[in-house]
Amino acid sequence: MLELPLYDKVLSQVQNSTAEDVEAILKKGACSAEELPILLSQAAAEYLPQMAALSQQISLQRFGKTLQIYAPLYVSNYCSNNCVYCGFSAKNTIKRKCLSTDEVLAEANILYERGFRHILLVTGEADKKVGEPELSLIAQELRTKFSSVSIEVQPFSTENYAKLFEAGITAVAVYQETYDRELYAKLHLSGKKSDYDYRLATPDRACSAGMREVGIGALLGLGNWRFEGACIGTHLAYLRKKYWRTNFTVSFPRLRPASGGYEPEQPISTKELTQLIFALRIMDPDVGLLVSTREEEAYRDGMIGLGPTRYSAGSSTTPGGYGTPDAAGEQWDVGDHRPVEEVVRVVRAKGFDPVYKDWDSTFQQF
Amino acid sequence: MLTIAGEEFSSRLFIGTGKFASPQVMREVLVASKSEMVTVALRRVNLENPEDDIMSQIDTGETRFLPNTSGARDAVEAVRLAELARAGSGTNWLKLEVTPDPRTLLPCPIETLKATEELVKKGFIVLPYMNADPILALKLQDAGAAAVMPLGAPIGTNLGVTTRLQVEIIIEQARVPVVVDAGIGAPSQAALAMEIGADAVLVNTAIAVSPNPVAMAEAFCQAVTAGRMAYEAGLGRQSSMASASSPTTGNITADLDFLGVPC
Amino acid sequence: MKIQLNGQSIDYADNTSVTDILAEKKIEPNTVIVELNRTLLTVDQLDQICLKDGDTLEIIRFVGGG
Repeated sequence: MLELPLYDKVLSQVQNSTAEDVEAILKKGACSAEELPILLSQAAAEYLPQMAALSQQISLQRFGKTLQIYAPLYVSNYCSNNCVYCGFSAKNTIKRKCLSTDEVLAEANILYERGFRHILLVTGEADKKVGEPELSLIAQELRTKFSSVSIEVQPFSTENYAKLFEAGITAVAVYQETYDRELYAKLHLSGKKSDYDYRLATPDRACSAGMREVGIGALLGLGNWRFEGACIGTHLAYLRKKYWRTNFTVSFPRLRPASGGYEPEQPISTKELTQLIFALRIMDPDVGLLVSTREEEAYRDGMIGLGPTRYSAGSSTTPGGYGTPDAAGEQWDVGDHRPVEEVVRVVRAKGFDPVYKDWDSTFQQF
Repeated sequence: MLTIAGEEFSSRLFIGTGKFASPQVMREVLVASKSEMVTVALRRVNLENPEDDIMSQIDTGETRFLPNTSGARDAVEAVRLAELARAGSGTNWLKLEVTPDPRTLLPCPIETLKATEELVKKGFIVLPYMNADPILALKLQDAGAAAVMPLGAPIGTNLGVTTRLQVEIIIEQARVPVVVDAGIGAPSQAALAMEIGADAVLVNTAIAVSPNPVAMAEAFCQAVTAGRMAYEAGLGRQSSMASASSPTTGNITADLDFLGVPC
Repeated sequence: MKIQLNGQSIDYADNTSVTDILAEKKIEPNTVIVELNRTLLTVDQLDQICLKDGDTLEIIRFVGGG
């Protein structure tokens, strides 16, 4: 049973963490989910360079000198939810676009030509526009060209995830946005997304359906980042134990200005984001850590090798955006505008191997 | 408190009843060890010279009786022995042992998994003896095993927890209790098993063949208690998968200038 | 009649029951498990069932083991 930590308990543990507590963990070189709040504390913030070193060491050992490169492909920005903070929110008047299968393939082709072999399909949550059948169709087409096709779309049932898996989707990303139940209710006013528990159980359903990889995370800036971090840690530990065959990743979407103009209630600084990334790496040596183009160039360059294992590059967050930039409403503003060649050049300059193709889905029996 | 299949045990030392010089010694050992779980085997009665019934030596009020399937060479034989054991003991608890090689007595992973699946379906509470293979441990748990019993070293070798790394992984990933069984030859080895996080240990040979089995049983009892206490006193050992050598705090740092803020 | 008893071929009089055999060997019935032709016998069946020529009987008990 997933038992998320209690808000007050986490904050209290954070408050009471001392330098000695942090040093004990650094010395041990490992951290449990129960101990994670120590690494998320103000006390630990004083040890950021040491946390970085440990995170770097662990990442190097587990992942080597590699950084996986992927690209998001926004299929549709229609959304039936009303999330207060999102550019795609139903009440926002933005140019809506839903790509046809041909248009998706055209976009995918651009990405393919640029060298990408791992692709993440993204949609707003509008089942009638893009549901399982549409995604399965796209997957069947794309899987011949791309090593892996993942999705970051609306939560599906186990049955639908199984169908998507059959069709060629191998990974699912779904973010709880905020693990704070009360806050969640305030932010997700209508639509299927207003069901906190259904969303929380989504990784379980994806794992049960046989997905090879499942990604979790919280939208940083909504709730208290230390609490969200503690919940991510607990959620991850629970999933890993229960679904031992599945690979896991954590992403760090951070609130940036969007069409909706939402100002984050509890913004997380870059330094705090960094602390969170290192803490999770120390807690889980094997989890993939994704940093997207939301973050600035200098930041992404500096973090290479310190913990993150996957970068998107040259991203467009609008449907059709690779072929026609500014075609429609973006989900969020990009921070790192560099084309993929530029990002890859930096990765190589740092002595890392940019991995376009991590594994071959043809080895997988569908 | 150790809980297996909903039942509580105050002692984390399980005793095997084989190789004892006499049933009386075995009974005294059980008392000295404070064990609440003992294994027994099933054999044909020697009709020329039927021995004393071991059951009379075990106080089943205090001690749980755990029949094993020793002698089984495959799942079919194991299931048959299990049914006999259940009929004879009235308990559905079972230590599953499938050991096709009589020289090494190492457990067959394939037949053990098969037998576990079948026996769980038949309503047994299965504690499978296994080689310390973490994936096998996961699969046995998926099949419904109530605990897993990875070996420290082959039966009777007294070599200790030679499988330490794998056992640590098993412990980290386990959703059921982990009982290190076989190969534990000295109290220090039992303590080690407990210190790395095992939920219990099973000891037989080391006690039975000692010149003073009763004293040895008491030594093991203390070792298991000490090992467990040490484990609980620590923050709980973490995964052996990250073998990052600990940085001396304050000395090893990474460059965070790119953050643009003081760190 | 000839039966297999614990792996040995033994002659017994016709209509011998398991209880008869146990009594002869001075074995308490409730300390053993009895299997006749691969089927477990209950305590009641021990003197109800009469053995026939060619039967295989296993008399088993718990012994010390690890």
